[in-house]
Amino acid sequence: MGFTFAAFSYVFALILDAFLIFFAVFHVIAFDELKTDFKNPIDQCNTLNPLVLPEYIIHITFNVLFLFAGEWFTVLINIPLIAYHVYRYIHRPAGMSGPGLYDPTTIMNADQMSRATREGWFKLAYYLLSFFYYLYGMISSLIAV
Amino acid sequence: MVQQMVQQFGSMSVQNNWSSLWGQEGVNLLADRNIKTKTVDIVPGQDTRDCNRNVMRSTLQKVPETASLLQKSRLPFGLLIHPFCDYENIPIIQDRTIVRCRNCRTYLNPFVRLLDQRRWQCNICHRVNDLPDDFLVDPVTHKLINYPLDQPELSHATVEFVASVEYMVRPPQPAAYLFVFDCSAHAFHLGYLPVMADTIYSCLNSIPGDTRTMIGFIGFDSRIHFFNLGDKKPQHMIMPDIKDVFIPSPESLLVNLHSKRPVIEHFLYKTLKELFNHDGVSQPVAVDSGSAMGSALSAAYEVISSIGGRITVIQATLPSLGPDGSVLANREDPNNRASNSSNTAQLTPLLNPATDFYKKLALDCSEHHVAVDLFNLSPTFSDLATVGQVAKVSGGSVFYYGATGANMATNPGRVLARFSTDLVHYLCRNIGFEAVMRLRCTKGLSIHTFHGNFFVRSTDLISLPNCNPDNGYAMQISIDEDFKDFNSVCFQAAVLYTNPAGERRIRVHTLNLPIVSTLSDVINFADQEAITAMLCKMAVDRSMSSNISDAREAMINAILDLLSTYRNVAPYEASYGLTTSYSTRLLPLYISALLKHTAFRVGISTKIDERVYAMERLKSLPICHITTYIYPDLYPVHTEFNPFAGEYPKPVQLSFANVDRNGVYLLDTYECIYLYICKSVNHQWLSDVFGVTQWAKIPDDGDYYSDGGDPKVSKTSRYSTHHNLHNDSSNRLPATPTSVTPLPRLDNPTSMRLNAFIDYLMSSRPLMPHFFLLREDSRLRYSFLQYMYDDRSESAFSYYEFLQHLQSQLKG
Repeated sequence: MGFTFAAFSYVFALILDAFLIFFAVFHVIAFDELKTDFKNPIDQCNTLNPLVLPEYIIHITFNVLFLFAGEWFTVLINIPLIAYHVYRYIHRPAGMSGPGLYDPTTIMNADQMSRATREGWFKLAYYLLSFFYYLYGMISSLIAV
Repeated sequence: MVQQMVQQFGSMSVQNNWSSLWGQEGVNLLADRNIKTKTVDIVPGQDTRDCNRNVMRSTLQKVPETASLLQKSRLPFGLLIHPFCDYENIPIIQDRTIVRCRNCRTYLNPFVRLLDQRRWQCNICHRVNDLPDDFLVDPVTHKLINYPLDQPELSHATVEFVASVEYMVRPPQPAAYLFVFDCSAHAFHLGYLPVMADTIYSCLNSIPGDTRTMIGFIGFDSRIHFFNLGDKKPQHMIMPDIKDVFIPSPESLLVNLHSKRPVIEHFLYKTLKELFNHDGVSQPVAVDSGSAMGSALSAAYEVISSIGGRITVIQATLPSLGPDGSVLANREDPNNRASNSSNTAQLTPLLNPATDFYKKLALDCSEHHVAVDLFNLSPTFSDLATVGQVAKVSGGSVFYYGATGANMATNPGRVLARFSTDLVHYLCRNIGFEAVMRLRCTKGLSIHTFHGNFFVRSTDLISLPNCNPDNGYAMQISIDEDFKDFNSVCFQAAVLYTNPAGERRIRVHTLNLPIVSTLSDVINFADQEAITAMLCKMAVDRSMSSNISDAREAMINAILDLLSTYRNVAPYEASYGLTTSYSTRLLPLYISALLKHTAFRVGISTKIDERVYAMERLKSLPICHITTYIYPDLYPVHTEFNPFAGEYPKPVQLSFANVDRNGVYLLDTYECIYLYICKSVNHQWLSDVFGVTQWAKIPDDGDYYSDGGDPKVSKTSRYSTHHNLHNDSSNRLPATPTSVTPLPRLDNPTSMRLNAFIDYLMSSRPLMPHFFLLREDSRLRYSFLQYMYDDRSESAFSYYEFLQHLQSQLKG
């Protein structure tokens, strides 16, 4: 029983994960707005692009904490998403000067759009499930002897 | 059996064709190599209710009723649109309510269902709408019309409306043209500036516009040159600070063409020429080889963005100075060109832009209704992939004059002549400003991908800051819902634009396609030219996102899919040989040609800019020209023909087997025209056409051509009598234009017929092709031979081998 480093990382992850859920919801809404003509692709890319790296950084931050806390299983279930993020960022459109993933000239292609929408929903589910998992992890590490 | 099939093809004249047209007959591809020339396409007759085939065309003339049926057919489904195509007899409707569906805003078209005299059902969203009261009133006589079907909206697939105030977000803009030209040392050596000045000067009267037309000029080398045209005399202002450009007197940089006409004329025939020409001596004022194109473009955008209009950029070299992102490095190592062309993974980054400066600028332009057109005159690497973005995204056009053998270094005189002719066409062609195009399709269909030069603003709306009659567009369509209860689906493309006279117009094209439920109907009514055009656009996208090898494989797979689907559709017919439906018989030929096309070829050393340009052409050429661009026409011109009676030589297929030893052939690749003269040609013909008696005396374009090195003396200078004062001795001095073709016009029937035919070919396209005159022993012979797409080359299959390869793949 005690407030271990593992417990601290779970508490921290819980808070950050809540932010990630907001990011994912925002992402889903943004692409829905694009699809239904509410927003101009240029504006939408300008709002989405600055959010991409913070999301990745937040996700990596609490995973580093887990790594230090020795929560191997938690790290393991997060590795695929980290790998996907790295892959996605390496394969971003050529020649972009600012940070981000979305190029207003290609974003309206149905392939890109459906990929982004699917990505949004999948991440939302992933962050939600991991939210409850972190909650469980926090409690179990707090009550662990 | 082969013989028999050959005869069958030979005799396949009109009456036989009907059975093939209705898809009863398969075609064994292995039976005859000359499949293109031996078979005929019957173009269905069209009345005014059918959309012109060159304006809007579907890859599938009959639409599968479900997405799974489309999936089974393995064919791409999409539309090729040439919305601003110059053709006459478009009914113009004005002073009457524009009838549109209240729900989806579709325009009234010939394919709606008229329920009674007062109501119509929309064929896009199926809502029932009322006809307005004035619809049945004749605008001239003010009497009631008994027969509503005579109204142009209901009798023509293409109509044009004069729009009312509701269709404007701001008062219609005046026509505004801003020219941004390179005036560095490179430009001086190319010698294009005097040509440009003369051409614009001669076109001042025919530039489309009204009394409000605006015009302006900005030059750039390592600094920016502004020209104040607001005073009595043009004033030359130089801005050395290119990082943070300050625009002096913005309102007098872009001035009214009519009220300032004398100043503009003075600028064109005096100021512009004196830039390089002090005291009558042709010497560069300062040896300034920098190019601050990025800054100049940003400045031009600042000047014109409050009005909207067109920026014309003339680029002579790679941008080397300016704000971050606009400066480009030489990414192509000419020594590695050959190996690069084989290693396609290394090629992909070169096909994509290096920076997004030009793209961002184009997006800003697009937002302010400004389109940028790019003329690239540079014979060396100029990163068309990056700079070209400025035209691609803003809805402009790219004009490239750096193709191997046809550029300023090898043949400056003829290229300048082409540039001048193209500029005349460009300046005088019709133009629409602040345009948008919306494509509506029947509920259940949606647009999947867009191809062409524009910015996609929402799922069915593209913004075209300028629309011009030379650009074509394409959209891939996906089927989301079943059409089991429908007979037909409808597509409607509407372009809203401001014409040069400042009038807001809407041009509406409607295409109606029947729905079918069987796979054989889908395949038998496929449109092979449209499918090829769509496949090559998809392949360009694939080359940029993945690599060229992938794109090539995807095209081959598309053919394999087609052939194996046909086996399921007609198992009996497909039991022997390699069979496909009559409607898709040329697809393997076209794909085999595309694999050897400049855009997709591997193994052959290809300039990267040339490849990028070829890809741009495949993306933006309209349907009426793209087939020639993919599969050139080879005309035997030594045969009898009479162009004066509309009788032209019949093209033969691109195989050396079709080239006679005593023949003369004209190869039309859309971009170039080659006249290839074989050794044993008739002497009479020679003296008729060239006025020479010996074959060896024919002036060959390869004679003075040195491979990639320093340009020698302009070849064509021998023919023109009026220009070459300083063209003989040194290549340091600027070139001067000669004639576009080197063929003399002699006064005898053979020469007149040949020249008339060439004139006909040249006038059938918007841009001047580059003309090559080649003897059989020419040093440039390979450039003709590379178009023999049906023959085997070092790195690629012949057409027949390609078929055999397909057959073995199908069996395996």
